[in-house]
Amino acid sequence: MPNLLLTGKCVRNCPYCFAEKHMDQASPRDILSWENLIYVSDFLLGSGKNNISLLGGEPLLHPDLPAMARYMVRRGFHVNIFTSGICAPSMREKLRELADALTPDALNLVVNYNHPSLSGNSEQEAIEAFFSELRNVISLSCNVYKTGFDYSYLADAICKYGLRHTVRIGLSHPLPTRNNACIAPDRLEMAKMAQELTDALPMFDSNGITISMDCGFPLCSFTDEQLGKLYRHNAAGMRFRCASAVDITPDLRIANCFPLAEIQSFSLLDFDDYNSLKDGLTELTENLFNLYGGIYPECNECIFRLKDLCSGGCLGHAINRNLKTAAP
Amino acid sequence: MTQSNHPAIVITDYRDRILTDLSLESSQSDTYLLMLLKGIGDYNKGIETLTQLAGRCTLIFHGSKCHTDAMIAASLGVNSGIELMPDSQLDESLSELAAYHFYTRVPHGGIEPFYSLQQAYSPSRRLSPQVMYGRFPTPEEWQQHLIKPDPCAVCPAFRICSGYFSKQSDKEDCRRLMTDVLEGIEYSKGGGD
Repeated sequence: MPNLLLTGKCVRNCPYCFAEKHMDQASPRDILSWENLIYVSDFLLGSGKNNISLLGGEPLLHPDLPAMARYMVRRGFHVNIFTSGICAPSMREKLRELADALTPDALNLVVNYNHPSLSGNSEQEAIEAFFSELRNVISLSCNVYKTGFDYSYLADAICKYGLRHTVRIGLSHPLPTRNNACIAPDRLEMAKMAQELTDALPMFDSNGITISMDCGFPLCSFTDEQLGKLYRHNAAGMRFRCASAVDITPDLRIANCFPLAEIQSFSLLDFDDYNSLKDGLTELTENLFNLYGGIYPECNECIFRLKDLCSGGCLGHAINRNLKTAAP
Repeated sequence: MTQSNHPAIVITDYRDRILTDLSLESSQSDTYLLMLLKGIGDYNKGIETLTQLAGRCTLIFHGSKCHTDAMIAASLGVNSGIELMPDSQLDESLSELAAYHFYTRVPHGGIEPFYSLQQAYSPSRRLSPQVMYGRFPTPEEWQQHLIKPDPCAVCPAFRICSGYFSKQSDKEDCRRLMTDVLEGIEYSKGGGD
C-alpha cells in the first residue's frame, strides 16, 4: 500500500523514530499541496490502486487533512491515517464529522500509541481525548524498539475506550548512520523480543484483539512453537519478508521506506504507473539485499531466505553492519 | 444574480459568492448551468457538494485559489474552469491546469476555457478563450493584429487566441500558455498515445 506523507513536521520525539532524518530535512513549508494530492490520486487510480495511507510527520498538522481525506474517500479510496492522535480539539471535531459522514470501512485512524510512560501529561490527555471522540474508527499501532516491551497497555486502551480490536506491531527500523532506538541485530535480543511477543498473545486473545506484524521480523528469531502460536492467532498477519510500502513525500519524491530513503530516492513524475514504480523499487531493494545481506552474516546461506520465507530482517541493520565493517 | 441565455446552457453569475454558500438543491435538475463563482469555499464541505454536481453544471472560478478549485472540481468529475481575462496573470500554474485538462488519463471533468477551445477547434476557425461563453471573435477583432502587424500576428497560437491577450505586458507568457494549449488540443485531436 502506498504511503503519502502530508508533512515532515511532527509533534513528538519518539526514541525509535525512523522518519527522523526525513523530518530534519523537511522545510516548514513542505506540506502536501492540493495539486500534488490530485496528481497522486490520479496516478494511483489510473494504476488500479484504491488503498492509501496518509502519514507524516504528523498528518494532523496539515490544516487540510480532513478535507484531503474526504476528497480521497469520495474518489473511491480506502484511507488509513497514521497519527499520534495529538492534535487541537478543532481537528478532532473535523475528524469526527468526517467519520460520521463516511461508511465505517472507508476510514481507519491508526494511532501509533506509545507506552504512556513515554508521554507527558498533556500529550497523554490529548491522546485519550482523541480515543474518546473517535473510538469507532481508531485502531492501534506500536513500534517495538526494546526488549522488556509491555504490550498490556495496548489492550487496556482498546478495552477502556472501545477502539477497533486490531493492533499493528512494528519492529523499529534502524536508520543507517543514525542512533534511533531499536532492538540490536543480536540473536539473544531478537529471541527475547520473539518470546515477549508470543507471551502476549493469550492476553490479546482473551480480549478479542488481533495483532498483525509489519516488516522486519526475522523468522529465525521465533521457535517452531512460537510460530505455531502466531499462526493460530492470525496466520494472515505473520510477516517475515520485506514488503515495504512506497513512501511518497509532499514534493513527490519516492522511496521504498524511510530507512532506504537516502539510498533510493526518485520522483513520482518519472513513472507512468504504480506497478512499474513498485517493480522498480522492489528490484532495487533486492539488489541491496544481495549487496548487503540480512541482519546476520549467516542470512546469505539461510534456507528460509533462499526459499523466500524471510528477507533476513530489516535491510537497515544490514547496511549499518556493512558501514561499521567498512569504517577505518 | 444576473442571468443570460446561451443556446444550450444558462449562464448564472454568482461572481461574489462561493459554492458552499449556495443552495443548489432547488435548482432545476434538467437545466445545465454555467455558474461564475468566486471559489469552492471550505473544501471540507465543498467536496460533498461537488460530488452531487457531476454532469449538472460547469463551475467557473475567478478567486485567488481558482486554479486549485478548478482542478479539485474537475478531478471529482465536475466540469469546471477559470475566467481568463485579457489582463489575467498567465503563470506556470495555469499551464499546469491546461496540462491536467489535456493529458490526465483518468476520467475527469473538462476545464474551461480549454475544453471549449478543444471542442470548437478547427484549423480554419478563429477562436478565443471567450468561446466558453459561446462567443467567437469578430473579423474586426483579429484582423487588426495582422494588419498592423503586432507580435500576435506571428504567434503560433494566434488562431485560438485571436489577440485576446494582446494587452499583456509580457507577450512571452501568453505565447507559452496558448502554444501549450494548442499542443494539447492537437494531442487530443490526434487521439493521444
